[in-house]
Amino acid sequence: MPVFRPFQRLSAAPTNPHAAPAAPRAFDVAELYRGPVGATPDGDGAPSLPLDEKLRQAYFWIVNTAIISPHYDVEYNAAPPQSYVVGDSKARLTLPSAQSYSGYVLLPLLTFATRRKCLFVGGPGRGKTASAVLMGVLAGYSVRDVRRAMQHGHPQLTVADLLGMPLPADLVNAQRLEDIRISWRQWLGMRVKIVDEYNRIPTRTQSALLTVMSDNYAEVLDHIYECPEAAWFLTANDDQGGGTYQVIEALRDRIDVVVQALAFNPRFLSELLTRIEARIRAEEVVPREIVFSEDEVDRMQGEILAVALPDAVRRRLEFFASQFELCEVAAEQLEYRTKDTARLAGAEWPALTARDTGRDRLKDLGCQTKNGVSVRALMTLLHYSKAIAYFRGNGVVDLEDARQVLPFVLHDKLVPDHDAPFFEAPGNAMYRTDRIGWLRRLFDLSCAEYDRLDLDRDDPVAALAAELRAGLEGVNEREVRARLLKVERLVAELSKGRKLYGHLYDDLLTLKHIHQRYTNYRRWLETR
Amino acid sequence: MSDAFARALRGRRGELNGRFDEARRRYPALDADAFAAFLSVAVDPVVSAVAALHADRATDAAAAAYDAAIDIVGRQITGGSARRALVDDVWQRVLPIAAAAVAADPARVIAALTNAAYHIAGTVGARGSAWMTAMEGLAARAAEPTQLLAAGQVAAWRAGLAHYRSTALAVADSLPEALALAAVGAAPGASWRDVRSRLGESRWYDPARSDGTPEAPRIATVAGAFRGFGGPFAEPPLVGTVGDQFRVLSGAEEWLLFADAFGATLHRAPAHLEADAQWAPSIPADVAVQGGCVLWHGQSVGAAAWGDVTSAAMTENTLALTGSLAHGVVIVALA
Repeated sequence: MPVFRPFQRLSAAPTNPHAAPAAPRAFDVAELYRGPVGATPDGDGAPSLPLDEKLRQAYFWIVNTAIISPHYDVEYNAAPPQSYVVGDSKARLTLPSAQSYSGYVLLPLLTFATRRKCLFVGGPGRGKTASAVLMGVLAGYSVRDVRRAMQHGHPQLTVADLLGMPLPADLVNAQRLEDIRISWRQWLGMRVKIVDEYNRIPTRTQSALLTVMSDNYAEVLDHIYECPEAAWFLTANDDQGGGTYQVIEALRDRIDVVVQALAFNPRFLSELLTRIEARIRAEEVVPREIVFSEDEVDRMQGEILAVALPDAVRRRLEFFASQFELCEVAAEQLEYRTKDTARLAGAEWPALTARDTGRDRLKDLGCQTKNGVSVRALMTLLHYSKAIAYFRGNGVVDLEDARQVLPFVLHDKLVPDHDAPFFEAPGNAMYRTDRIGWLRRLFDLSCAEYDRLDLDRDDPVAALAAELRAGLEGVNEREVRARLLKVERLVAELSKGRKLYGHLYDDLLTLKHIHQRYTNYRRWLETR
Repeated sequence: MSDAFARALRGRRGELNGRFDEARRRYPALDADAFAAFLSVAVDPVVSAVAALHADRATDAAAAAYDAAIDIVGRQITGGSARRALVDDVWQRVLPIAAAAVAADPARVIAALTNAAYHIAGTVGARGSAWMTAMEGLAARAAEPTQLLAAGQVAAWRAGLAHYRSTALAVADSLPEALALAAVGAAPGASWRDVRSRLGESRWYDPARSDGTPEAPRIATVAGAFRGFGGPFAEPPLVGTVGDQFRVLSGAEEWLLFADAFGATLHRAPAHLEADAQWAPSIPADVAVQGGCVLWHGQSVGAAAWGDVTSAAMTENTLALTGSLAHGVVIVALA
């Protein structure tokens, strides 16, 4: 009996047409059987789609048929968009002029493609678990296997429940630990792992979960199970670490992106009605054309990493990340003047912020946060920037790509200081609750400052760093001294009469690094 | 309506009605009367034919045909124009004969042959009726869906889709000998090896010609016409080559030209392709123009009201010419 295809219709390729240079056209008689009727299945010589196109088809199937998420919060514009102001609160409705996406569907899909970790948050009944199950089905697992392998957080979940247990007979008979065989839980070997309501897992069991999530292995009685690389999907009703147990910070930090389930638009109730009447569950009718094999996901990962990140985009990300770590009053030595130093010392945050450093606390982006951006978060940001560019069919990351994924990546990573003057300014109070909007605004302000400083054209620190990166082969002592002088002059100039903002702090440390490298090299030359 | 089809419809009435309702959301112009008519005229004979061979597969065939009918009627590719008429024909003439293949893989066979009819009817210069006649014969021979569809591809090439020559020959190589010979129009007792060899040597060899291949040189066909008369060219074209591929330039538009014994087709060339086509107003060395006639190695290819020869290009076995008074490209077979 043929499967009911109407719920399995895929968007016709190309799903994101590009004005890319056309390759010389080849004519294949297999084209004869492609056309307006049906989707010709494999076997008639039809070539398979590029993986990015397949990913897009998966996205559009999910958003049009499965999850019904008619939201376009990830906005792209090819031209200035139409924008309207609504209501007394001056809510802004933007009509994007280019293909835009629902973050709630896109970010989990990118997580699937990159095999990273995504947390779904939102109230009950908003499709968090259903979305996670869909990702499992996209990986080729049956719905039954996905559901049975899903780990459900609850207060009685033990390490044995999560990872597996030793065989009782071996426990009795074994003379050595090595002789005890472990019955490992099947989900450990899956390429898509789902943990439902992870904030209901007891703390001790969270630690075992952390080992699996962070180091990809499970350990029971000195026996190790090496897990394959997998995409992780976790759900929580409350992303603030609430729930039955507080989520340990290290576990929260392993999550790469956080997506919030947006409210269902009742205008689309007819879609739900059709589904009810046809007794269709989206996860049971996933078209096989959008199911990815393990090999395809492996290849897709490679293709994503091959997406280029231009220096211009990288520099803006560097500038943005440099805003937040500095805490001038935290230490004597420059390297330790960070928020992390203060946090480790258990310093009272209000006491820190109350001490005047002369900086403009409204203008200083660093004043808006209680922490800086970690290396892990930066790497995640780079990875997802490439992933979204890949998804859009581009071989190069655009600044807008980074801007769009940044809020989801830093959602739980960059902690806002709600007492900062920024949040008191007129029109900014909403950013206390709108984490996505705040992070995007933060990035926009950073880019505006970057433009004001004209760093694309005038960045002496970058020039010196590039000079060093070119290598020291053939650089003689005289040249080294000249370069050292350049560094010292620049440090003097940057230090003169300026307030110490985050980006300046990082620039000075960079210059110190460059100076140290040349100093060491000069010493080596002298002793040769 | 046949008992088999009526039974299939009755048995899944709720589900099929649901499909139609859902389809109306996708195809707002889906007309219930037109749909019912198509089911009666086109789908019913197919289901009956399948039921006569394999009664247990009639229901699956009916469901697949029903889904295809929704696409056909919803997209309005049935009835009316000549293009749509070929789609109707394939349902009424070919699919019932191909009942064995339809029974084996109904969704695939029905969709493939319908799409093929749609493409062939939409290709200028293709002979849809010739393909239909060929398919009637091939459908009776090929019960296995993959073989039937492969033979259909070869038949489509022979019906004038010259651009598919190389891949169609590759497909023909995959067929059983008897079916391959039938697909290329060769006599049943011929040797596929010999026929295939000759097809590879000359694009002007037609295995179906019982009187042998006509003498060369000869005018095989004229490709294209003035746009005002339904052709593609707004201006008198020029012909050149890039490698062994004919290229045609008309104004600022460029086309790829394919030609062989079975027809000629023109396709828009991608805009950015290297502009190194040899737009040669000069005549190749082997060709001469005398008194309005074009001679190849001293042999006349016949007089034609082309005016002055404006361009000429040669590939193996084929000469293409354009004239100052013509909006077509004259294709001359040299073998």
